[in-house]
Amino acid sequence: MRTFLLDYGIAATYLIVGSGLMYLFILAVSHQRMLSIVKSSVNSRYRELAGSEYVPPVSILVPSFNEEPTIIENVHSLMTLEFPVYEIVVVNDGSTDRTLQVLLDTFELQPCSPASFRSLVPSKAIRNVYRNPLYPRLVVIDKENGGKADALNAGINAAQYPLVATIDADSLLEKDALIRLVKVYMENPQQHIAVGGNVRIANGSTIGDGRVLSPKLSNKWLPAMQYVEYVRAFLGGRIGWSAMNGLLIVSGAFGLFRKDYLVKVGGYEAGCPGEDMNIVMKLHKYMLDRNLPYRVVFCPDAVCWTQAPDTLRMLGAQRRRWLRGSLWNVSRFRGMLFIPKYKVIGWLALPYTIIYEIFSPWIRISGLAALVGYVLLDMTQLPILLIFLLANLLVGMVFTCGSLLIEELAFRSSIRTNDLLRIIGFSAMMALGYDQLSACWKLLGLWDYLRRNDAWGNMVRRSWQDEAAIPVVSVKARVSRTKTPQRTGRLTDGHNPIYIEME
Amino acid sequence: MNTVYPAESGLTQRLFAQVNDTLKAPWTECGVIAASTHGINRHLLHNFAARLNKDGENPAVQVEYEEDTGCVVFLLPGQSLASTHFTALSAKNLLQDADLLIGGMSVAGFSESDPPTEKAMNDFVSFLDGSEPSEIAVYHGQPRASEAPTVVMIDPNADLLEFLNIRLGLQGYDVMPAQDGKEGLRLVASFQPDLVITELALPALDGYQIIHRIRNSPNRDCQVVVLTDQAVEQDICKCFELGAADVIKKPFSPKELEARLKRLLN
Amino acid sequence: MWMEPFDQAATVLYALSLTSAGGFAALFLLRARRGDADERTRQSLEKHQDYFAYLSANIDGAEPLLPPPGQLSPIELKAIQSKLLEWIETIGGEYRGRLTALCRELGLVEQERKRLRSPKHAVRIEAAYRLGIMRAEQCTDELLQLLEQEGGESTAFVVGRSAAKCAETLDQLRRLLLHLIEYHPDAQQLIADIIASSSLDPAPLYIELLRMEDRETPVCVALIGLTGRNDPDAFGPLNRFISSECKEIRIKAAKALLQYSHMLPMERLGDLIRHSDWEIRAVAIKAIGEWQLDFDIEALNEGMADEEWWVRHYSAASLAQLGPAGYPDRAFDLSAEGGTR
Repeated sequence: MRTFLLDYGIAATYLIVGSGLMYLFILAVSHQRMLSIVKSSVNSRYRELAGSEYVPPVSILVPSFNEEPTIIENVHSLMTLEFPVYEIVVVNDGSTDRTLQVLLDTFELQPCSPASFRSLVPSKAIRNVYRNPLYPRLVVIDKENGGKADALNAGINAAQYPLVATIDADSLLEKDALIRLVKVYMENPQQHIAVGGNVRIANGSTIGDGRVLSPKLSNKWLPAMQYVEYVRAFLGGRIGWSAMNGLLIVSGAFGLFRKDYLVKVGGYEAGCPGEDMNIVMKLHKYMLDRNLPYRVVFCPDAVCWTQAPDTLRMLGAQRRRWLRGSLWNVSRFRGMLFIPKYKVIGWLALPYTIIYEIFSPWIRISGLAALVGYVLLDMTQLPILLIFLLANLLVGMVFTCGSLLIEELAFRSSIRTNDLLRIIGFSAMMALGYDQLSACWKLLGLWDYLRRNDAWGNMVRRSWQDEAAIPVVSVKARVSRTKTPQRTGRLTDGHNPIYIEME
Repeated sequence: MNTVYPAESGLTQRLFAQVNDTLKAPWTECGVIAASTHGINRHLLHNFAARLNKDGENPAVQVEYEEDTGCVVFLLPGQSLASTHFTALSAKNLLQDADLLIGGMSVAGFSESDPPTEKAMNDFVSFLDGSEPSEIAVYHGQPRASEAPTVVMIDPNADLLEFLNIRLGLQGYDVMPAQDGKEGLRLVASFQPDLVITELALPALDGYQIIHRIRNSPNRDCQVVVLTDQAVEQDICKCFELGAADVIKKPFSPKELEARLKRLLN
Repeated sequence: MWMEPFDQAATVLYALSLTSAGGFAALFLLRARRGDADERTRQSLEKHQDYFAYLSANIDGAEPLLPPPGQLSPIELKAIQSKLLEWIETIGGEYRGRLTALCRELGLVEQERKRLRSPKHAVRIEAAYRLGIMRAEQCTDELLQLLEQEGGESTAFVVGRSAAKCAETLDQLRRLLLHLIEYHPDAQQLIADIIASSSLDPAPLYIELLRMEDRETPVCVALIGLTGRNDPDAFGPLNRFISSECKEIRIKAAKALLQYSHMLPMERLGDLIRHSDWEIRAVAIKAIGEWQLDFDIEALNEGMADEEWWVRHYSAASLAQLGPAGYPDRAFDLSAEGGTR
């Protein structure tokens, strides 16, 4: 028994170190391309393109459900982007608060008949379209509640331009973020069918007039921890996958798509958790099925700021939902696994997601449990447990370090030294608690998923309500509690937790 | 004349005479640099003159220290305003290295075709008092601040603001820069400017809103000129619809901008 | 027997700690260096504030702008360069020429030209970028050579844009254009934008490209480049492409052609409005409204019943734009919101 526990623990350690190495390997393989992207973005002037007649117009879709506290600031921020021709399509997904009313009041919008609305992809009926000639870029669509995917579909139907950008109603864009995404698109409009932006945590930063004035690390430990997580994932991870064309997610918080392909794959899938992964998977499948050349690209210099959940409960709910989304999509697209024509997706990206999402939490938790058990049996073997934890910590540290280096070299990061030291500290703490916690959430997410899978059909809807009830209450409670002039903290990164099926 | 400008001093008289003398002789142009300094002895003055003339470019530099006003005056026969201004950079270095500079500096250029009047000379001398410490103010015959048309300029680009601030200042405008829309509107409300120059893509409040609000404010005479990167056909039309007086696309020619402002304000 | 895994673990842990320690050391070193450089740049800019005031005040003078007096340290030069480049990019016309001449005088062009031959790719790209801003005509050929080494990478656009800004002759611009078309056949809009950043008039080049009738990409780029311009020379060739076999070309040609709506005979416009491609019908109908053309309202009414959504949409929009001048009430109903231009 003891030997087994020990061997198991050691094996787990090697697996953790090994997965880290594989990741570094991916990065190493792709560094050439990555450097090229960085060099070209550093040596470009975006203001030049921002006034060019040759830049294709973009429709920005802002699905919003109960976003009353943040929607105005978000729309204001979107209206001052540096971009030649674009429109902002706010889709009010049957909000139960005053989201629509504050929009109508602030921008003095008038109803007009839905002239530019076409039924390209399925979506629930729209009630009205609002405009104001004084704000020619703004369109507000009011529709029946149908979930985020449905709202995005309605947005696609209402969009008049050939490119659509999706953004969460509680995120803020840097003013050059959109033109940076579109520049990547313009480099190869035939093949770059989806471009994702870089999402960062805004908690703790000073925000004013719809933009982040000075980025700072939050004083609360949970958002700060997530900041580290995001920096690692986005810089370390997505750049590598993007270079191999194996990107499975274009973050719902900020991404750009060719509308014609969104329409061809049938738009977003209603009732799907994790619609941002779903749409990208559909695009991959569509293109690979037809053997068309294409790329899904990550653009690290197009920055979008989002608010991270700052209570354990909300974060847990978010992570469980994310995992359920990934699993749902993995299972939906399992037919792509190990089929030669699906190339990187079938052979590398999907298997990696499965391992990372399903097996890695098991390995982490069970490895730790095995070693704890072992040490409990013989307290003199405590060093083994420490070695395990240390290995976890150091692997994380190497990642943090690599991501921060990339950020420093490529983007002249403006993190203050004090914050940097804290990031390193948090990165150490991550291995000693947070990782285990997030592994637990993943397991819970897995449990949610499996439980529901037994009785697929009507179970889905009920569970939506089950879970959604928690964050809705807590968000409301927070809104009334916090009276700061700043944005009230809201959760989400692309997955809006408070999307509920209302029926 | 003397009664109108109480600031007139012996310095003005002497400078006026000297510059006019210089312009009578072989020179067609004459530059003047003045700086508020501590007392400087004759030896050091000679030294300065020699150093400013080290490349033989300023053959007849005259340096004098005016005891009564506490300032040093460099007379540069044969130099245009531009080269006087340039020489002033070196002169300032000299004065600073010797730890003599206590106030501001001012430069002016006069030519045969545009000889100094006593009034101009007096304006120039009073410029010295008005200039910020260690700043080099350029006298260009511009009117005093009270007569100058006021311009509020809104642009997020600080470099551009600085550049145009100086350029338009020399053209005789009183320029108030703002880096975002809200700040800009605040300036407009408190100073009632004659003209506003704005970029369209501004943080907080975009250019359209600014045009719209100014057109619908009590200060309706205020003209709005849009100076923007973001001038595609659609934007330009929209600006004019809202009542902008002119739209200029960046990169722009400052010369053209100055000409257009002149037309709008006359 | 327990020692063995300990040793192994120790090796792995050592390796990991060394990697991260080294990484962090490099990170802090880089930060310190950058912080130091930033601080010195700031100081240099402060020191030379009077100089920049001199430049702004005398940029319209007859005499050339002079480099700052005295010796400049490399850091000062770099700081001055950064500010000059910023100015050059926002200022156009005659004054830009004076600033680029100053850059030459300061030795900045020569300095960047040397960096163009650096073994480091990142340095070469940065040098190319700056040379482009400084409009270094003498370096155009070198930039074009550099471009040829870039191939299909995205940095090629950086070098390409610089070459376009520096180009002095149409030959150079043609070389650039053909190269970009060959290596980036899909980036047509971006190529047109890059070519437009040149100070030369690219219209003759585009008209030349239109003669390569058998090749789709050059023709498309030319059509994009010619859209939004007003060059009567282009009118003839454009007219031919309406009947091209390639749909993409037909549509682009129609778009470009409709810029010259005043030169289009009415029958020709009528052909376009009843063209078999709906995209062409749509742009033609859109143009009627936009240019307020005196055209048969009936055609627009027909357009309202078109099978294609966009054609109906623009018919309504155009009817609304033409105003109440004698057309049925129906159009008003459908196009009351028609301002979706």
